[in-house]
Amino acid sequence: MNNKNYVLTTVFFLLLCTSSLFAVEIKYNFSKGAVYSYNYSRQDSSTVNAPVIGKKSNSNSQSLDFIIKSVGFRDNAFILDIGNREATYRRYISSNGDIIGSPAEDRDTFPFFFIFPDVDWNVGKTFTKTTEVSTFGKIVPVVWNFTLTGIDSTRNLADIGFEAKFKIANDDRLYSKTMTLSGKLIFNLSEGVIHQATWKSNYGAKQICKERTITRDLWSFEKQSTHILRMTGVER
Amino acid sequence: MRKYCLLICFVLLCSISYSQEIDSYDIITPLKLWLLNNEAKAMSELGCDGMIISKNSTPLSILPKIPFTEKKAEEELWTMHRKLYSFLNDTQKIYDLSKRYANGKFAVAIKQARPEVWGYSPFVFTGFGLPKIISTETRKNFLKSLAVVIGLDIKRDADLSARLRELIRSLKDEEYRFLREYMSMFKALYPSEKSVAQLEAFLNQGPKKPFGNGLSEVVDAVKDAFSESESELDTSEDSLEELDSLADSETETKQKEVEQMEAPDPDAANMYDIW
Repeated sequence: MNNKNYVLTTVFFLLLCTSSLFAVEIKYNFSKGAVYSYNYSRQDSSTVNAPVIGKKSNSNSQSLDFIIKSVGFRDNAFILDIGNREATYRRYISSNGDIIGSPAEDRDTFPFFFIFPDVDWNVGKTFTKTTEVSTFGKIVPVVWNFTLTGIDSTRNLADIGFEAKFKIANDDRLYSKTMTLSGKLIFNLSEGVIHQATWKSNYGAKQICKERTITRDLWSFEKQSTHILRMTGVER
Repeated sequence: MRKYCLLICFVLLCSISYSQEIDSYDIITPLKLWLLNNEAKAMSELGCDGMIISKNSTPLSILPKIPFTEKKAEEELWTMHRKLYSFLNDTQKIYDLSKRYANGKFAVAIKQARPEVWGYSPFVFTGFGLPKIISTETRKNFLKSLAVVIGLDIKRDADLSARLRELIRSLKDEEYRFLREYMSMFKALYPSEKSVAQLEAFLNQGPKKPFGNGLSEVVDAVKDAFSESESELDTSEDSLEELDSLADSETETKQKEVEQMEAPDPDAANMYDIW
């Protein structure tokens, strides 16, 4: 009886240790005065498919180097100067990634930014966030899923996978479309910054013509964008 | 009240009969409207969806605002469409010319029309040679003005079949096949719409068989008028110049200002001339 209790206690203790080993808190921790250099590159390709002329494709890639200068920390927010020689914006970002303030920018024009959970994150656990995008009177709900896929304890890196599901109402029978976005982010736990991120968006649309019982395929469009963000250096 | 209702009905009936009259030779509008409508729909959907993607494509708050430009493959398709719209407009012009003025009746009407008679009748008893000079000049000016009004170019429109052949040749093979595909698609979708069948038949038969022979008589008459007065064109005052001279000085100065302005690029005008 005593042995059984002993075994159960040991198992419980081991489980507790294991779960704490595979649970981390993802949060930014910019060092005051440090300058983080990044390279952001984006590759866009689009294809249109029409009868007779077949597929016509177009692609282009662009790259941008920028820096994040950590000015300080005040009122639970990091004061960051983000930009390059051409333009620099000051942003007040909390440790979970939420923008508290940005004096020179219009918040309404901001894209969606994801925020890390404020609690310990277990490997395999998924956080869900639903947002809405409004364009020309259309409201499209977007469901974001973030999953901590793994922790590299030797290099102190956390792998986060994310994907966005766009709930597009295909109410128009003449136009069907799909939209997906998925990616991966490597977070440097010891530095408290994003080390690398890669994500890809796919868009496909097909337009048909329908009159009574006759249906004809008209055009189809495909768009792909691949984004890569890499940290290139830190100066303290 | 009843009078007003009757008047409105009368006006509506008149407008319907008038619109039927002016559109009786239209063979391109249904196809063009169908294509434009689909194009507008695609542009609208792509624009909306592009905004949704761009609002979600940079989800990290540490990324700066990035003014990236995107080259869109569909632009190539729209450019090709603009070329097709321009082609259809020119085809309609040829068809219009052949239907309206090349049916023989118009040539007969031109031969019968004698505006010079009315021009010299007041001077019949005034002198010996004056009526003849006036009548010749009036006839020439009448034919020249007529050519301008109906949009007749004596060099270009002498052979409408050749003009159509040249127009088809201006499209690349792929572009022409693309248009044919749209036409067959339209025909399948709207079998009761006969205008596209007419357009297809015109494009098939027009370059092969000479048409618009009735117009050649008009062209010959106008050509004669032009060739006779070609040497005099710079010195003699034609009827249009006379009309211009009657305009007040203010209009003249304004006209000069307009003439001094840079002429628009004819190709650019063509590109947007889709109606």
